[in-house]
Formats: sequence, structure tokens, C-alpha cells
Amino acid sequence: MVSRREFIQKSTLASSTILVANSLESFVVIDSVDEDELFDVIIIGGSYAGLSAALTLGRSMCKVLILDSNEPCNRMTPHSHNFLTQDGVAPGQISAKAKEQVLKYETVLYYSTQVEKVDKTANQTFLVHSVEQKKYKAKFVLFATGLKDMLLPIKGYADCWGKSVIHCTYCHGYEQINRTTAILANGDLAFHLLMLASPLTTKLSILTNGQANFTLEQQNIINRKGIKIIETPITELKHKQGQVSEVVFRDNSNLQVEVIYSRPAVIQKSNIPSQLGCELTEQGLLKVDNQQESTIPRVYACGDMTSFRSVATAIATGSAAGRAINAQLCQLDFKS
Amino acid sequence: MNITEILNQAEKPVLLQFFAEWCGPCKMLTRIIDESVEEVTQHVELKRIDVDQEPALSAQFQIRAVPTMVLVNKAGEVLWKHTGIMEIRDLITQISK
Repeated sequence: MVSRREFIQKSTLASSTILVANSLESFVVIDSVDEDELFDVIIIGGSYAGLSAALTLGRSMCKVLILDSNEPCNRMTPHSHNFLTQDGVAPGQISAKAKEQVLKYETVLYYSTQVEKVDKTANQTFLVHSVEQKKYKAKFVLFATGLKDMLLPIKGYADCWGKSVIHCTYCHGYEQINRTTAILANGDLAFHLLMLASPLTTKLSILTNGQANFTLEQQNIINRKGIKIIETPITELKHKQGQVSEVVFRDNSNLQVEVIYSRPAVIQKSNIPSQLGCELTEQGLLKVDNQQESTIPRVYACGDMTSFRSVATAIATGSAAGRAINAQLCQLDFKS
Repeated sequence: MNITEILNQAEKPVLLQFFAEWCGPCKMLTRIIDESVEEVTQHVELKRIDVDQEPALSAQFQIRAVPTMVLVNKAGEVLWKHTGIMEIRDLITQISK
């Protein structure tokens, strides 16, 4: 088995044809690996959570391969908020800077590809197959594949998603203060979003897009606050480049709005963890322990797929996963 | 974007500069080229290609690492290919051959 140090020497040798003295700083490999190479960790998903784990692992000289399909769920959002030091910065800018910082570490490789499946092999390693039919081997697998939003099939909804139809008051609510706001939800979720939005604006209404489903207590509170509930199904969100202006209902009535809070259902973006046997929670998140390890040993997960959706949480859980995996690797190395 | 379109619009050989937004060395190379861009464009047309935005074109030229520069003549033949940063003098020597 190749030790971590030998691996680095090997990688340096492979690229020594380059003119600059420290060849590893002169370019970044995006796609080439020896199929026999055994990585310490393969990280599937290279957005904030995956990169955060890679940073921790790279700094501990772990051999890391990041496989990323380059489709972060916040790619439609113009600005990311509520993450200290990066408040208001475009998501793409944050991830570009993150990649730049993480890929400085010589044991971290990043390829832009999609993973097709992951097999557990007999000798306690994992075999990761890419869609290009390449195979990569690792001792640990870390999933940071995120969630997929099941956008509502309403005309205009997808165009406004992340811009003026938003899922979270914490991430985007402050920018919508005092605007005419609709909560597009029903029941407990609608009541919850209403509570969170009420410090931000008084111009509120609830669109249940079908028969309302509130408890008597919730109904009383909503009535007392004079908030209108509209049950008529929605046919269209009129908008200009994603900025919603009007909700059109089936009876051709309409409602002027500037912002809509809506939290559509989410599903795991990748079903590979489930295929490996990882359990999900009742909310559809991947079940992990307090070290971010899934119900399958040596398969870890971090980011949106395991926890509250935010950049800060993604980075925190990624860092925790990196730490836990490195601790396990050190134990294995040190005792052998 | 495909190579035929690029070559059709070009009057000189084309220097394809493959880069990624997140790649530090790519930024360094861009800076090096920008400092002497007039001299570079005397010899070639410079075309910058983001590998994340243009996966098909990157695959066509077998880009495995960034930055990679590929010099293509009007007939579509690859005259020269280089991965990594390089000094501007060496680059000018290559593209003025």
C-alpha cells in the first residue's frame, strides 16, 4: 500500500516536466488518475460541504479525490447571505475562492465528473464509478451531494426560484423587508413561515393553492392578525427576469406581490447512498451520527443532505466529517 | 461554442487558453498574458475557454489540467499544446514560429 508521503512524491514526479520549480503550483489537474491509486477519501460533491471536508483532510495530508458534477443547488441565487465574512457575495464567487484555497493542498485532487455508482469491495475499500466508466478506489467515501428541490409545477415558479420565490427567511428575508409578501404553503409549514416572515413585513397573505388546512388555534391567530388566506389554485406567477409581480389564480383573479416564501419538498439529489444501504431520516435526510458517519461504516455524509440548509451549516458539517475521517485514518495508520 | 465557429471568425491561428474560475495558476497565466496582450495578439487570436462552461470543447482537446494552452491553425490542426504557466518570452517564441 502506498503511504501518504510516497503518494505525494509520486504525484510530484508525474508532473516534473513542468518548467516551474514547484510544479504542483503551476497547474491544477482536472482529469487523470491512475486506476490503481488508493485514495484515503473520495468526496462525492464539491460544493461548500465537500470542499470544507477536503480542506480539513488536505491539511492532514490525506489523499483526497473530489468528484463534482458542478451543479450546486444555489446556482440560481444571485447573492448568498447569512454566512459570516461572505454576506452578499455571489455563490459562484464563494465556491471559486473555496476551490482555489482547497486545491492548493497537494494531496487534494478535483475532477469535474458525475458518479454513477459506488461499490463496496471485499477488502474494505470502495470502488467509485464515474459516468465515463472510470473507476476510483478509496478507503472512505464522503457524500456531499446535497438536495434537490421539487419545484412546484406552476408557470413562472422555476424562473423566480432563488430570486423572488425563496425558501428561507434567514438566507434571503432581510433583502425583502417591508415588501408585499405571500406565503405559498399550507398547514404547519405555512404557519411556521408566516411566523418567520412577520418580523420582516406586515404586508402578508397566505396562498394555500387548494383547501386550507390549519388547526383552529392557527386559524384564530391568522384571523386576529388580519392576514388573508387565498385557497384558489394558482395558475401562473407573472414575473420579469425572475422578479415576481403578480400571482394569477384559476378564477382569473390576481394578487400583486413582490416576494413569495415557498419551501417545496426536497429529495436526496443522489440515490447512491441509499443503494449502498445508508438509512434516511423521516424528513428524507441521510441519517448520520454526531461524527457525520452514515449507518454504513466508513461512508460519511455532510452538508444539506444531512442537516439544516445553509452555507454555514454545510461548511461546519463538512469540517466535522473531515476531522472524523482523518481521526479514523490516523488510528488505522498508527496502529498498523 | 465549437472549434469550427471559433476558426471561422479568426483571421490568424487561434491560441485557446483553457482555464477554470477556481484555478489560481490560471489567474496567474491570464495576468502574464494580459501584460503583453498586444504582442500576443499580433501573432494569434486569443480565445479564453472556461472548462466548467465548455466541457465538450475541453474534451475535444483532451484538457486534463488547467491552465492549458492549445495553438490551432486555420485548418484546425493543433500546432502546440502546453499545460501550466510559462514565461511570456517563451510563449511569444512558441506562437511566433
